[in-house]
Amino acid sequence: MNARTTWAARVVLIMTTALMLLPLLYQVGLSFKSPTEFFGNPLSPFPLQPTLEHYQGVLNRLPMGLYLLNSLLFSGAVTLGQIGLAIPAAYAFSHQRFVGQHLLFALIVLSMMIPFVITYIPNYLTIASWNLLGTLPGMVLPFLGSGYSVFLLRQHFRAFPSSILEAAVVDGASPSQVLWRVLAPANLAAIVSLGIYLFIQSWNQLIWPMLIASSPKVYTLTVGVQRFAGGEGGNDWGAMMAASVLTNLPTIVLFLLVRKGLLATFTDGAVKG
Amino acid sequence: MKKRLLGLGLLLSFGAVAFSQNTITTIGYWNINTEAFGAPAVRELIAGFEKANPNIKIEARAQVRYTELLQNTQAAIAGGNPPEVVQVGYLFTNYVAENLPFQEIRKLAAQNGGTRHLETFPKSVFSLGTVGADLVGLPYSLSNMIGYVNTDLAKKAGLDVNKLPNTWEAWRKLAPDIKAKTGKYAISMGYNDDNWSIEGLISSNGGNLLECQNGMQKAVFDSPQGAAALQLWADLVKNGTWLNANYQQGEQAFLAGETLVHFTTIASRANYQKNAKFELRGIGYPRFGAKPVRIPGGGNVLVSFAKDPAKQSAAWKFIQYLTSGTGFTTWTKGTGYVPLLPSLSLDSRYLKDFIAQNPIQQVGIKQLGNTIRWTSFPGSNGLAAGQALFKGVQQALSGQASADVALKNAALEVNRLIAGEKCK
Amino acid sequence: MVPVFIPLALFVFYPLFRTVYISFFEWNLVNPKREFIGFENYTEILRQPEFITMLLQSLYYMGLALIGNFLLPIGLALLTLQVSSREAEIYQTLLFIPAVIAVSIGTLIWLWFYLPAGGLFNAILGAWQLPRPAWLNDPSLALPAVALVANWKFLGFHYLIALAGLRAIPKEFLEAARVDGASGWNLIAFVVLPLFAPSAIFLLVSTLLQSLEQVFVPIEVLTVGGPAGATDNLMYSVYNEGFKFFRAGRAAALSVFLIAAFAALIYWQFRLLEKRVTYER
Repeated sequence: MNARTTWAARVVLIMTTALMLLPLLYQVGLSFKSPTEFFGNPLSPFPLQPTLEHYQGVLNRLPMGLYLLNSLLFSGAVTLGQIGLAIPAAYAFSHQRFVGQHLLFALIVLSMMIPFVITYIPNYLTIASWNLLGTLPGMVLPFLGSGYSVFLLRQHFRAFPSSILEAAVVDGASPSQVLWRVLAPANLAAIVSLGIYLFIQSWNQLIWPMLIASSPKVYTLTVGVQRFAGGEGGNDWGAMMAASVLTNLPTIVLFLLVRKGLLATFTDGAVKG
Repeated sequence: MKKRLLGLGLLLSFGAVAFSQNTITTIGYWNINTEAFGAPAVRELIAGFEKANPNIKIEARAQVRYTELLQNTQAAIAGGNPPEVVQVGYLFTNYVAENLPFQEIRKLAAQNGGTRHLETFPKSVFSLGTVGADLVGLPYSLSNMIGYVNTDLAKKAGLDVNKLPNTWEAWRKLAPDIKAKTGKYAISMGYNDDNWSIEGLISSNGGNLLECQNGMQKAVFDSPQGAAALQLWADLVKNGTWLNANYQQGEQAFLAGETLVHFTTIASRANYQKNAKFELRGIGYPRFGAKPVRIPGGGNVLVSFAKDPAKQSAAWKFIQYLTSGTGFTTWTKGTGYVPLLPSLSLDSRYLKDFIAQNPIQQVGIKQLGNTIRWTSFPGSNGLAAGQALFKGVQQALSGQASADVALKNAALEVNRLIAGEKCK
Repeated sequence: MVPVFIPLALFVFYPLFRTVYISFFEWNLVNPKREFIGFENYTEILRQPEFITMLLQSLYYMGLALIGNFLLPIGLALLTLQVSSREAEIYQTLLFIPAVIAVSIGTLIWLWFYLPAGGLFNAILGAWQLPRPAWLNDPSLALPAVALVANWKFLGFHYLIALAGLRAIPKEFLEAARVDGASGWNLIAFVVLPLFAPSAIFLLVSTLLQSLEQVFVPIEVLTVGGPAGATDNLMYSVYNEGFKFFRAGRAAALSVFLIAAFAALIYWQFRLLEKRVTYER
């Protein structure tokens, strides 16, 4: 590669990156602009006289702490639940032989391809009949079974040499010991990355939690902010953007902290898939 | 594995317990009062009510559109967890009466010692919330459409701000000139799927949305008068003098100084008076030629869907508080809604002085005589019928079809959806 | 192994059957009684010209996703191969940031960008004395405007997969080709892209399968399917019919059409994957 191509590539990449980040820059900028400046100076993302009034307003008007707690509980439960259920399944599919294995694995793959929207009405009726509307369990339950998690972990588990697991069995280990003492620890990095990915995904869920969360007591951050933007806060752009920034912050920080492992895990999964 | 599942179960039940409530009765109040549309007044009212009733807690939730509000209400009812008090737009009283399990207001009042309170209302007011023999909801908010004028722009356009045009024809003629002189839009009128705006235009031009023919309801908004009214709107959108915008977008543009006159509900008065960075005036709804102005009364009735007696009682207490003299006074001051009880406007304990000092509020009150009932599409397809008309309006405004063709198609669809619905 | 199938059975597979069952009824979700109407929901859907429009719009969304979330990320990934891997890491991280924020939250700022007056885009156009379109209120612009938001939000994700696919190409092949005198576009066109084809198929199919899902929340936040149905698609309409118009039977019947469309896509994917296997041999 010569210097000219490198520079041309670099210019395009830098410009694309800048354009991609521009909406977020405006989001942050507007959250600090006073109403006067918002109407008077719409073009620049940078506030001339930054103000914290929107943050104060949002924190006064919305129970952001409660939303945050709900988001943590919801995302935490979905993540732990999915991974807890996926690990044994991935083990079974990668290192065990049993009747109907292919059929069941086909079901796992099939479940990944069913568009989520189809399940809304039936699941809404199920959750309602269990009296779980407006509760966190009602939001969490439909997310527990994830074909994707099983599939991705199986891809990683498969790469682990069977001979080592067999040796452990010969030494008298039970299948569950093999799984939790050997296989899972050996794939810890993948499991953690999957967990972080699932956590971010659930953090960002909107439609299902919005259907279930009938009361502000169980709003997650995305639901709370959406209800605010489509309700009380409509046209109150500064406040909407301040609430947006507060909601985005945790996932962006989490991502920047773990980016290397995270990016690697899913590209592996994708390429191997 | 078992342990993990157990842990998960514990986590979930912790969530459930943490969010279940104690002895205080909590009721939901679903409304359309966004921050820019009366939310501060709602907060004030709730604070006042909760202070007087410490064992009741109100959970307010706002949505932007009546349609969305009704949709979410129906979803909540389907889930068995209905909100206790809901603002139902006048256009949906029929729909609620025919499709949803509401608490009849007179019964609710009688069960909770509120019959006397109902007697304070003039009989005529109840017609706004009555379907058949039932009082579906207690009339609460009443509005009509006025024009908000940015007088700074009007002066820049060379208009006499004391003699602004009062016919659509005059506005149409002036619009290009306004645009040339100011570089801004002459007119905007927020609209959405509640069809409030289009009904005002069509009716004021002598048309109607629905008519009774041989005892059956029929959509007739595709009349020549209807088509002409929508075509005027579409023409001005096309020549760039009328901003094509929904309620929120129109409001945003007007406050940003992008439109000279913005037609929307009187209920936005307080917000505009607070946030306009220019000299603000109000004008009445323009006529078509010499025809009388006929605009649908906007606003809502308070409907209760409370299921158990404790919540029903709490819901009634709250409704009674909102519709008391004090409640109505806070409401009109904090929004712009026209007082539903005419006596309040004459009473200096309530709104007399306020109205005297607020010329924009007077514009809305003066138009009460021009107000007609906001059309409610009948039957279980009522929601879909409203959408069909809205779709036609959007098609005409975007230039996809002429107003005539768009309304004809919409009328066909609406008549199919409401086929067999008898007049009431 | 068994536990994972409990939620899958209850919340994924059972709904599939229940949907088919509901599709034979007229029911508003609230009324205790529902009316059995056979195939009427299906015939009703097929009778309306809007259904074809909606299918075409679904394809339009897919086409835009193909440009924004398939061709563009591959192009960017090819460019990224031209810079050092440390530099590439910076682009990867930054371009991925929109992908980690919530779609709903990311979409809110676009609501402001697209305002007909008082928003960013028309403020820029106004400053240049250019015509200011109504964006989300204009049926011909609204769909691409909505799709752009989804493309923006998910680009980083697709870019990452494209880059990983390109990097998985064994270096020896590239070296060998260079020794043979291939360079620049020749190298890319005749060596890199053919070797990249298997990953590209994966990316292509997942782009198509996910495209309607990725525009779902932007539609909900920006247009609710309007103006005049111009941003509706097969997937969104299921939700719209079910939870906005409460025609549960009709929503279920639309679901069945959606399942059929997805089944066709998936079948096509397997056909492609078969070819991929032969190719790899």
